[in-house]
Amino acid sequence: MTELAITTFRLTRRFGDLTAVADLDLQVPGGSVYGFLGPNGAGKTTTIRLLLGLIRPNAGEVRLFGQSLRDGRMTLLRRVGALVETPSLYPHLTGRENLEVTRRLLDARQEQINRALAIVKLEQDAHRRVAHYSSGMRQRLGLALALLGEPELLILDEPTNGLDPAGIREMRDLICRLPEEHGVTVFLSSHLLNEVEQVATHIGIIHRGKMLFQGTPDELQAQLEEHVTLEVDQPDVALRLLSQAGWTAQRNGNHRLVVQVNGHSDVAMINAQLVHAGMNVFHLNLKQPSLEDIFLKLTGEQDRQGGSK
Amino acid sequence: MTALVRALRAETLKMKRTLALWLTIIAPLGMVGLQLIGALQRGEQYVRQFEDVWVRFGQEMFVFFGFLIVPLFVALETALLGGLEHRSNQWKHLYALPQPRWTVYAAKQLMGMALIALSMAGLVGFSVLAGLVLRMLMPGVGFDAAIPWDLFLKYGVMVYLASWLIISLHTWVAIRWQSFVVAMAVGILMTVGGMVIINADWATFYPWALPGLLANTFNKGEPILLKELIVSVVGGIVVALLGCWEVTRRDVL
Repeated sequence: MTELAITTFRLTRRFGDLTAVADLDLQVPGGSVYGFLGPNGAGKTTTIRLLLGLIRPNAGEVRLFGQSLRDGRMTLLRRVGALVETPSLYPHLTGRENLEVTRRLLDARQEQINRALAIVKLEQDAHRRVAHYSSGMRQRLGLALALLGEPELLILDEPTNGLDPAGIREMRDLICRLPEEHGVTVFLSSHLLNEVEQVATHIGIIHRGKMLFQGTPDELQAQLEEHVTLEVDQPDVALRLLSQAGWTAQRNGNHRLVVQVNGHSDVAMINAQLVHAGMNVFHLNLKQPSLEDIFLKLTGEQDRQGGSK
Repeated sequence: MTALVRALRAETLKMKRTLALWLTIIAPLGMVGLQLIGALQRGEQYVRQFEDVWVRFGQEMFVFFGFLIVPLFVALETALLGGLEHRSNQWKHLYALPQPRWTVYAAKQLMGMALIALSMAGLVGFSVLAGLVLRMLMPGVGFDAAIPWDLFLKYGVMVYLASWLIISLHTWVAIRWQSFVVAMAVGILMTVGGMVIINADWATFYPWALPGLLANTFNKGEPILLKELIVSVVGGIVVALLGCWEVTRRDVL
């Protein structure tokens, strides 16, 4: 197993009465693209600020590469690049000058500016002032700033916020390339499921400061049962038959039946049973739940639990 | 220490094309320009009545600059320096970089001090230049006398040192609060207050009055206002350290 890039232990941060992050245990494997999901106000940005040492936790601990952030802030941050919310850019400076400001602070080499510009494909516009940049270009330059010190861990907060579809695709492609081509572990937050779905190898879901789920997308899928939708010529008979055979089946309001299953073999078995009983099956559709369903289910469950207290 | 040097080098690059940098030339140039026009308008008869025109000319320049321009200018420059970071959400970026947090504040403080130093140097340089222009335009009124460099330099340095305390105070205000308006409002209110307070016994301890008090003694052979200078320099260093400590330990939201 690879080294963990980020671990947190019961990380907690309160703002007055509000507990923004509660007992959070993050585990981000090295080399992964970790999608940190949650609705707006779930505590994503607070978590990221804690990971970067911008704010201090009330309780718990952040470890980067196995080392406590409290003890080794300077050495650890040297291995981290971050883009938190809107990129921090000086509009009166050119793209290259913006990178140069950070290069001087990092004491990085001059070539690293060219490298960062090449990764985000901004070489052509590096001489222009950032004031004249589009939001997509600003976001890419923000990413270049984060990549400048050749980090092992990249922390991105809502990297596609405010981008148009083309910009979102560009950003997504970049994020996908980074682990392979540059060996970077990526931790990115988002409130958009489909966005994370397309890039993440690991997913964490946070809601109201609490971790609801952490694991691979496959493990997340397994949280919800699959079901098959059937259309037959005698739905009432079929329903009785399947219930007797031990399936959890129900009418879906019209002439179709919905049966809970577990994998393709179940679907084949149901089909065989119905055909064997002399019924005509017109339609058979195995539906896998989308992450959207899972997300709504998980957050919905927690809301109900919270409400009943 | 190398971290501070790096922070200062970054800070210098940020100043490129900024209003803050241009103002260090514009403020003294505008000020001296107005004095020059004033002298020309009042004419030779007016100028001729003064015993030592160089001293008189320098007095007008320094007193006005010290009383009014320096306090406002310090507020404006530090507000611009702080605004540079506030406007583009730089704090989260700067503090997430592997550099000691205090260097960010220290670099700002030192840049503020450097900009005010530049404007004071500008005041000295432009004043002498204006005197030389008058030497040509009004021959025989007294500008032919040797340029009192020592006097101009001495008061340039002293008024500058007398502004250290307000530089520190305004650096803290400008970094601590996001709003440009807050930073400028504090500067304007305190400067206006200084005009009332300047004659009080305790004006020595009113930071915004110190540059004016020092400039007010502009003359040959005047004793140096040591107490005021010590209040400003020592106070400036103490406030800078406190401000740095206070800002550095705050959450970066």
